[in-house]
Amino acid sequence: MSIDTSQPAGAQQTNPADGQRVPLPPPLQLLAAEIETFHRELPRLMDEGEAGRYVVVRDDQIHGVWDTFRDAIQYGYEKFDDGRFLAQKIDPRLGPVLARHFGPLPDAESP
Amino acid sequence: MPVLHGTLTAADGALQAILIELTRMDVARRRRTGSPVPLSVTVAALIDTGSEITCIDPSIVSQLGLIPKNLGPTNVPAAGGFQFNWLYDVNLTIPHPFAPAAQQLVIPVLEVAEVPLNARGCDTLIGRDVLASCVLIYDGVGNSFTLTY
Repeated sequence: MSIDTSQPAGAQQTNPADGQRVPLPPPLQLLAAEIETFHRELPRLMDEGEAGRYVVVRDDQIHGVWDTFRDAIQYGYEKFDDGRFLAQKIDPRLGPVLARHFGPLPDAESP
Repeated sequence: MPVLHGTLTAADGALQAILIELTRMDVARRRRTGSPVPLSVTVAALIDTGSEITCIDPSIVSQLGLIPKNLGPTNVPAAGGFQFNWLYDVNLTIPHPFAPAAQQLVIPVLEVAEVPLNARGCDTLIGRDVLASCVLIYDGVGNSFTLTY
């Protein structure tokens, strides 16, 4: 079976041209607030050169950026007793995909 | 270096028994909070050089009570193409039937993707992230494979 994590050509065309927001798929709703926070903060994180690192998100707050997934989850497990947090890799490919659900990416320099 | 020998099957290819369990950090959290700690899951995993990362079926996610940690892009032509899937943290062990425990291949924190695999006849795909620590010899003529780590 072929499974890769690269984005094929044309994958960004999923962003609807009419600007309508698509609800998050049910499996992703478990951490919907965290995903939305990540989406909101993604331009700033990219602007600060954090691409490729891991950000820990809980509800609407960023709880630090870490070099590795292991470091990020270690922090998350120690801080959040219920184990519910996002240890998300800062990947610009997520921007257009999440824009389908949360709207266009905000400008990094906007307040 | 420990060496594992396996037989290729016409239907499945190279299958290797592995253990999937919670990471030590997750176990510590559960013990701290009095939450149940599920037993490890033993599965016959398909060695898949076409898979960039190791994948597990949702049934394993359910058995271990895993909570998603990371949203990652996956391109699975056999399962609908490009999409974003939840990634989870697990401890993966490839046990050796004869070697002492210290010589088993243990990856204490591995990001694995949740992909529906059960309908395709397996529960887990061992991807190139794990194979990066191994030497895999696929002997189609001899109907066998060898995994050295």
